Amino acid sequence: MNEIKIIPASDSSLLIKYFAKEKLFIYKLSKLLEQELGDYILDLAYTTSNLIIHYDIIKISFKNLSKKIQQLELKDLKNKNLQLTPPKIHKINVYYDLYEEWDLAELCLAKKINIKDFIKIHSSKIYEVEALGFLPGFGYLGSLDEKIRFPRRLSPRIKIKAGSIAIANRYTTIYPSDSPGGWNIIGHTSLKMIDWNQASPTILTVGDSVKFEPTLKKEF
Amino acid sequence: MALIIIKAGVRTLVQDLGFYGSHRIGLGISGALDERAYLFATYLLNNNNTNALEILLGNFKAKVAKDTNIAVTGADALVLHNYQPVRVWSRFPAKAGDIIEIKDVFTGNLNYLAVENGFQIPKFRDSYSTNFKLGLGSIGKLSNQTLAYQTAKLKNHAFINHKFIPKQYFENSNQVLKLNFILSYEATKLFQEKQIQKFLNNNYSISLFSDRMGIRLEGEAITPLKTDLESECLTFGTVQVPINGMPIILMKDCQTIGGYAKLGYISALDCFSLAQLRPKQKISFRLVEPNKSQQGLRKFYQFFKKC
Repeated sequence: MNEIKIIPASDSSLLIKYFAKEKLFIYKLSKLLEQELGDYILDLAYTTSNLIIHYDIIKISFKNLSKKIQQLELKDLKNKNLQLTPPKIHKINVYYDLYEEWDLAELCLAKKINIKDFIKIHSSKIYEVEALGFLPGFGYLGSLDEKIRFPRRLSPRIKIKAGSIAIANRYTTIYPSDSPGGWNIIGHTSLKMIDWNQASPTILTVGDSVKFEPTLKKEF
Repeated sequence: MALIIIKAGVRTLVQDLGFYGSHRIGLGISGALDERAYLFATYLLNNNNTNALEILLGNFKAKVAKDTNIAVTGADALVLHNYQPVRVWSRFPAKAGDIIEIKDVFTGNLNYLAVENGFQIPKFRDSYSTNFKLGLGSIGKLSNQTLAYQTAKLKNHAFINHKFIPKQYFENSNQVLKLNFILSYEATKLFQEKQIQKFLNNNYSISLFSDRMGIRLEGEAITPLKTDLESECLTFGTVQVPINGMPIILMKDCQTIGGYAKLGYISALDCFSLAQLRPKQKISFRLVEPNKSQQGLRKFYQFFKKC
């Protein structure tokens, strides 16, 4: 098993790093782990390339849990009867905005790119949710076209509104709640990205796809 | 009828051992920063991890509306029961109408106050914990609320023997606190050996800009070889180094993923101690094996599980 590496991440958690490129490997692995080793697992979280397990150290040590993970027949993931939810494709309406304190105009000037082209580039791609984090429901959607990649702003804003569509480096995102943030704001959606009253509060799950649909209406 | 909070000081939060089951959507563990003090508070009341108030730097006053037993643990502070001092790390009976205060805090930051059988408040994501940074939890920051609990039969005073509690809780010392540190297997790929040695051989002091998310350190800068790394899942205890070279030790309200270079992690038991250090206090690091560090934490949890 050269494809994964297991390392301790703290006294009660371990990190599994995945080096190959099979898209749903980590998601399938998370299901397999819950099915086979659920008794030891207190919680787990993952991106498309790594996975953390918080485990019950009274029941099992790092050494023994790593051994059990290694012994799972990961190569046969495909043949396992795992209850997989197929990844969803989310269409999200975006009002690309030049006003307020948003950064779209500034970015277009910096790259000497026409705003219409910018919108076209951003909205024509299907992005993959590579990770959720920073805030609950905050998705790292990759990868942005090289033509519209920008670093984070040097000084973060104190408040970015929920629903803001933003970009930084090779990612784009939708802010799920009001938050300080250093990403470049290019638009807004009225879609609520998180609802704590639901058992699964976030719209996005790691592995899902997102397609932005430009709208001319300001819906908020 | 309930505990009526008259003064909540700088910050009073309800905590337990944290959120489990929500990490995959980006909600981290949170919960009591100092699990040692938290678990001893619930232990004194036979509560088995219900919940407790986490009170930062005293200036706390509450009225007991019905009989219960109360435990206070954590920072060395002047704790008053009807204007008479009581010991920290103890349990005492409190009658309806009694006043409980945590006034000056001499050493440390955090006190935990628990009532028998815990406070009866709603849970959020299956936990009583509060993520202060995100403002998530069933109650949030407490001010003039009342917190319900069941009446309990009054019991005698009880104390935790001080031999079970590290000295740093009682001694306001200028000594450097040594933390057990586990070097990451990947540290040598992310840092030059010289930089790792710099981290291990120098003292660092706690920055004023530390909070429930992370303890920021000041001292010798450590230069990582790479800065923008693939995002990885994170948890508390991780030592990461941002571009400015000043290490950050992640605490309970930390993010669930991040892309800074990681040096390793601090033993969980030492993270609990670290939560009681104040800005300017000094720390250094002592290399330990991951198994040994985990064994220490296992013994600690086994002690509380048995009761």
